[in-house]
Amino acid sequence: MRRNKAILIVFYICIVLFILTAVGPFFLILRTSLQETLTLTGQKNPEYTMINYVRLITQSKFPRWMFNSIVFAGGVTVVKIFLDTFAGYAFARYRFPGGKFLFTLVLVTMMMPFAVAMFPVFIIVNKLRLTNTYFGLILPMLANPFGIFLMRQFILSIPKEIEESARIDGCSEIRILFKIVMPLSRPGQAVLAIIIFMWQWTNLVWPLIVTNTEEMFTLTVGLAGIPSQHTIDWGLLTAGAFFSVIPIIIFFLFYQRGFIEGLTWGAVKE
Amino acid sequence: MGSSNRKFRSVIKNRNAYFLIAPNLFFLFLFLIAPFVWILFLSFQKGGILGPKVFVGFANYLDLFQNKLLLKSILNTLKYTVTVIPAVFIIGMVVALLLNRIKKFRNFFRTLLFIPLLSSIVVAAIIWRYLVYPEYGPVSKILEFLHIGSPNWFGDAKIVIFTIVLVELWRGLPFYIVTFLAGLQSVPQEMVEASYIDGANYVQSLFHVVFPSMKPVLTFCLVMATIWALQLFDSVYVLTRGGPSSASSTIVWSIYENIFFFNRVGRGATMSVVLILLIALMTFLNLKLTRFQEEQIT
Repeated sequence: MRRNKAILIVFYICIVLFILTAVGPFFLILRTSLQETLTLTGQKNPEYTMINYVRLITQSKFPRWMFNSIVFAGGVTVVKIFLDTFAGYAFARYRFPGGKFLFTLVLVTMMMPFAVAMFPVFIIVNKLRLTNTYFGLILPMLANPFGIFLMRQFILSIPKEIEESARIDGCSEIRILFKIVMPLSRPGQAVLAIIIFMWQWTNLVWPLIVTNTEEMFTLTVGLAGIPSQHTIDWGLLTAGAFFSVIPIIIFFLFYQRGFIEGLTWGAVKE
Repeated sequence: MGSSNRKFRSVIKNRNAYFLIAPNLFFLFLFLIAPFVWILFLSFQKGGILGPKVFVGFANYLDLFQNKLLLKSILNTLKYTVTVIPAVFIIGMVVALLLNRIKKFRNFFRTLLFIPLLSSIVVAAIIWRYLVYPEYGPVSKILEFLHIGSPNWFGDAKIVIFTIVLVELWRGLPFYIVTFLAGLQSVPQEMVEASYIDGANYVQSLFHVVFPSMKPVLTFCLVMATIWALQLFDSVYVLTRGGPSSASSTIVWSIYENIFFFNRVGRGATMSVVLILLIALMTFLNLKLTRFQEEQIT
């Protein structure tokens, strides 16, 4: 018994050490962001101050980048929720000519990396005159098959009978979709929303290519480009880094079941 | 006539389905499928981003085998892949097994462990560039205190890929820990206990009972980890821009660099085709490999 207890204590120590490496860096940059960087040496003034956050908000485009990230990630998420529920519903409930082929096509596109498509997509967006606009940011990111698959699987797990009895009662197909299917698939939509929002909030490559003025940068592009001259302004950089993860961490702490279910979903529910 | 008539009637009867999937298929076609076909064509051409393109046959592909920089990018990507995958599997599984053994605070610990995944690679890069910054970065200070010299994390061509591995691991591991833990919890407890009764020790029971019964999870993680590793870009862009002297250039970095910096679309397109082929090959190998083990066990 005593030996088991000793082993358990060792386990706890290992886990706590591991957690320190995972979470500790956030506290270290929080501390640095609260100290002024001395311009000549890059060293820190040991006194705590909010000056870096004030500079971040008043002297950089940070608030604008935050706004752009919210519009970009939020926009993709809201549109995808509707489109993927529609498509998922169609693949789950209708038997139609070409359905199997189209669904296989959706599965195949899951293997296509965006890195390969990015140049032609850039040219298309350029031809549509959407470079450096919110539409240019959002529209290409709607081409993501993951949610179709997720919503199809989710809707397959909802009993058919509710829709069928509504149909017998003379409910129109559009009413069935909006009054029955949409509300019933809300748990699946929540998981999907979290995954898509997280992907786009951390997306670097597409905003990097499609935006070309500071006004249109997202947080990722803006932070990656904060200039570092002779000495790096760590105070400002860490303040920006910390400020940009805080919204998503708060969101996560309130709704962590959705996050974890969403991420493990693809692996465990085969 | 009869069958095509019936098919036509089925299309009409199910027209709602077509309307429902049309918007999604439109975007998939315009922004994913068509660009893929287009890239194939571009890989047989030479020309700039907006300039006229000339058909050159297989010249880009032949060029690929003579261009040391492109070969180096491919090699770096493979080096990164074979380093990061065993690392996420071993470390991720050890932490998941630890978490699976404890009962108190398990969910609380899992929540904390998850947090690095919420930061973008840009944020992770800022954090780690600060932590290992010479002289006053906290990690540098610790190494100095222990009388271990800090390596030149981003400037040493031999080390830089492994620095990127460390940053990517710090951010990416939570995904594997949480997924492995979910897999471990789905293994029927009776099977594990039965193996102990049959005289298996902990390690034997892991390899003969636990891992085989969570194989879908492991296969999924292996396939995804490979696909993601082959597409390494964000951390290269933020941390090193491919340097020093291309020591951290990857396939996607060289696609980006050739097209958007050097205006060499054909070369970028050819590297894109290399990426497609590598992903297809590796996914095929992964699936083949895992099935092979399944036959061995049963």
